[in-house]
Amino acid sequence: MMDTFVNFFKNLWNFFVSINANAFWTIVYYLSQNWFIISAIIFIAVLMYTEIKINTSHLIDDRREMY
Amino acid sequence: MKTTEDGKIRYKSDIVLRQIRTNVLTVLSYIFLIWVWQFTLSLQSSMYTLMNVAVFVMWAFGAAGVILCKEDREVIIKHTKHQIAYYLIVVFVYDLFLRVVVNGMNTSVPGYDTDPSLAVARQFLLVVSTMLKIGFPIAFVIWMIQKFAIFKSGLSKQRQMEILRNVRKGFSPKNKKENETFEKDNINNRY
Repeated sequence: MMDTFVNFFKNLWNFFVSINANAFWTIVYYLSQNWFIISAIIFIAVLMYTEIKINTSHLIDDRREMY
Repeated sequence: MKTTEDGKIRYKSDIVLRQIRTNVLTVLSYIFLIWVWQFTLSLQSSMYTLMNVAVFVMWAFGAAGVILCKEDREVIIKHTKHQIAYYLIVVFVYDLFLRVVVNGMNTSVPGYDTDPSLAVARQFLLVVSTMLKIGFPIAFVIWMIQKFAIFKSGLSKQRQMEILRNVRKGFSPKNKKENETFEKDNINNRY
């Protein structure tokens, strides 16, 4: 019973270690330091969100988002 | 709407499916644009920073236009995406052509000198490449500034058209009450 419990935490720890080994979080950290990429993502998110809203307003025939 | 065997009512709507489909396509189109952005810039050397900033500025002006010009949102989004895509694709295709032609101009057959006028042609093609890389974003920014001029100080398009027709009335953007007074003498308000 105790062995299973310890193994769970060991696997959990190895999971985070493997993520770092794949450099995912390192890449996320480097990207988070770059104001150029952050602001580009914000601009693209604004455009994407508005386009999704407009597509929805076409489907349900409600144009309040546009006028 | 249809009834199941249990007698319960079940709603079946294709609107949700269409909504999901359009939203997924929208997100994919932006991912594709980001990929094209990075792909085209990976082939640039001296123009890398300029083009990177140019595409960034185009995204920024597109986002600002979407926030400020509510009535023209749809057009602005479409135009922003098209301009960025055409910019990157045209530059990519032109530079492929340029690479082939310029390399062909540099090689000479043994025993024959290269024509000196080829250097002029080569320089001309390089200048055209630079004009494309700078001209596209400038054209887009000017287009967006025109939109800002129409929608300035939170006016609607209809109101802006009325103001432009009533030039003689003397419009002041600060005094809103004066602008809303109905002028019967004006020929535009008579019918």
